[in-house]
Amino acid sequence: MESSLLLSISTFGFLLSFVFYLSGLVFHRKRPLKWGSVSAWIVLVILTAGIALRWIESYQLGFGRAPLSNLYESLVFAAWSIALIYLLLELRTRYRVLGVFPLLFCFLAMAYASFSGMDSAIRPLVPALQSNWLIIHVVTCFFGYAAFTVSFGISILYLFRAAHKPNPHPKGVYALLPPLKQMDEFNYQMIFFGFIWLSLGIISGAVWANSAWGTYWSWDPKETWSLITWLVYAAILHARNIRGWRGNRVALLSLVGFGCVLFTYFGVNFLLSGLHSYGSF
Amino acid sequence: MQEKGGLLKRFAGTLASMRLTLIIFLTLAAVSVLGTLFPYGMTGADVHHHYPPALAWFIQTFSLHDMYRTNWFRLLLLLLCVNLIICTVQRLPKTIKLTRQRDEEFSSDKIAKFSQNFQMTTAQPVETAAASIGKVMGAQFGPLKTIGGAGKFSGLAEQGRWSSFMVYFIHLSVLIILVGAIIGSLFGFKGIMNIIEGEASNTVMLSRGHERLELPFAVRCDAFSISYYETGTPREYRSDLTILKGDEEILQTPIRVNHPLTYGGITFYQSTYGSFLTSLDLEIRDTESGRTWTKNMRMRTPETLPGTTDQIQVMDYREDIAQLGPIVIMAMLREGEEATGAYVLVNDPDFHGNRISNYHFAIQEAETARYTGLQVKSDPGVWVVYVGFSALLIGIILAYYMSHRKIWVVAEPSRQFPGRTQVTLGGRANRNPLAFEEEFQTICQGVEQELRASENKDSET
Repeated sequence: MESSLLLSISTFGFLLSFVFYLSGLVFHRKRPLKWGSVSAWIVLVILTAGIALRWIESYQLGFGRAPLSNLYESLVFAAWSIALIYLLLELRTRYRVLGVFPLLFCFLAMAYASFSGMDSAIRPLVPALQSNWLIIHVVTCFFGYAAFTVSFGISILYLFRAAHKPNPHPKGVYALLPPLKQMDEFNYQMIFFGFIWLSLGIISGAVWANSAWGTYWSWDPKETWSLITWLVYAAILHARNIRGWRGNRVALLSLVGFGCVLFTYFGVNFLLSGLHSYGSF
Repeated sequence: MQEKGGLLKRFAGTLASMRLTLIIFLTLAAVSVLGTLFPYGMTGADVHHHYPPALAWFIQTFSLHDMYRTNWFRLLLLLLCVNLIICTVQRLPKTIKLTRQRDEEFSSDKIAKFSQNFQMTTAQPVETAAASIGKVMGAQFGPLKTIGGAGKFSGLAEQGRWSSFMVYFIHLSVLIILVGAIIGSLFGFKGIMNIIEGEASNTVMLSRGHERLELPFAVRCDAFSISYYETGTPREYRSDLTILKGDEEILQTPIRVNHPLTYGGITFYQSTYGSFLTSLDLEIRDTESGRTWTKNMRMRTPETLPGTTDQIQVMDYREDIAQLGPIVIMAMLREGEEATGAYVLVNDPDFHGNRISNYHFAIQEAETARYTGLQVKSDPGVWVVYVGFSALLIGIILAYYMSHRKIWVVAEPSRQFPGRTQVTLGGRANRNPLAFEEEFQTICQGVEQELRASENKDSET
């Protein structure tokens, strides 16, 4: 069994799971939602095996290293983190309908990794990446990104639901969505959770940079954009806790924050140059 | 005088406002976006070369190409600190007062309307019921204090009172990080050292201001090596270094990327490598007269060609440019003319471009020495920054998981069922209601089980 086969299965598995979640939402039926959830768990297990196998394969090639070192591997790991964090949220909240957007992003990340023709070969690490900090830094950052992706999904559903609040059709698309107040609470939980991981990610990056280059902060575009993202989410937390912002405003700011996440992840690699060029090929 | 006080007060009010904090956050974010659009570390000349005049003027006026070192950016950071400190000074006393507040007593009707609530009746008399509830609460949540009761029991238990102070801890940690950064920029230095294999040096070229710094010890590069994977990509850059004090070898150690050496508070990182030209045997042919000369050239040492007033000089040596192999940059100075230069290929003596004016250059032998490029740094503030980092993480994680949770309990004779006792529990949390809901429900189940169990025991006896 090769890791690439497991990763391909996962790509289609996520698509299937997304379709289940979407039909559950659109036709307000609980059964497809359950299928979505079950299939997402199965795909998560398969993807975990795929990533583990890729790790083992790198040892067989003679240079063992964690599968977290280029754009292809980071996209696969992003899909894995989003699925994991969403499914944990689902376990806690028992609302399955929030899975539509997270699973869509899982599929998109895997599809982008698989079908855009990017290099998926397992290559050895350049000297700059040969450090235990690599795993800590990448895992923490991507858990943060994943939590913000889930928050983005909740925010979109919140905004749709809030726009139709005056006349909630009893059997409409929104029938299975949690009450607005609860969605706002879930959103806040995800933002705070993501904020912890992003802080860990930025700080682990700073400590690593200091041990590798002698500077914990050098205003490299990736660093700066992660700080921008951090500031936007810090602003949301402050606005909510001190100024009492709720609902629409928090959801809208979460969309802005997610835009920053996307730019930090992709935009910086493709449009700006800097120390993080490993991620762009 | 009064007006001035009013103005000052309003100014202080603005500095302490949450709105200002949000504005600073978003401004910092916005100007950082600007900063990343223009490559950091460009010189003024680069800016004019890359951008149209109007944009170049704008970039230069606000120093956008070097924004993070400008005073206005520092002022913004300072404003954030001031805002942080004033907010703390204003809010801390209120928080202290709140946590010291006398425990309020509520009626059961009121408690039953709290976001978390529970009600049941039991055959147990008020005092026994209260004792049972206290037992469950003590085991699962926290000690139940009696806060009132005349003919009834009224109690309160709470957890995480200190979580209200977490936010101050987080803000303090941000200040610590900034203080560490200031210490680093005032008392630390950063620079590079290029050391030829086999030689020693104690001079650091500082990255700021083109200054040199003499270290109290010397660093010798015994060897520099690169190893490759089978695929041809680099696997490891390694310098074998020796620290020297006078002639005494203090320490001998290799350094690699990600594995620096720290000695005497100064850290050496493997950064780059390259080659120096040490000596060059050059054949010069005058294409007009056909005369040839051979000369041994040294770097940046001008030589006059015999019989002429023309001077030639080796300006620079590069390992590889555009895959043409190593090249030497030559310059010629002729009286009354501006200096002219050319790239001369080391491996291709007949290349037609190896010429300046009427002279053709053919390199017979180029002797080079490899050097290792070390990044050298001393930052006495880095431990302060790390303390700030740790405090920030601990603070944020505790703030996420801790919340101030209060549970009120009332046990009183039931109005509906005479002879029975009505038990009411109500709970509030300032954060994370989801987790609190679970906790509250577990406690209520525990209370119900305990009361039912003691009822059964009573009925058995």
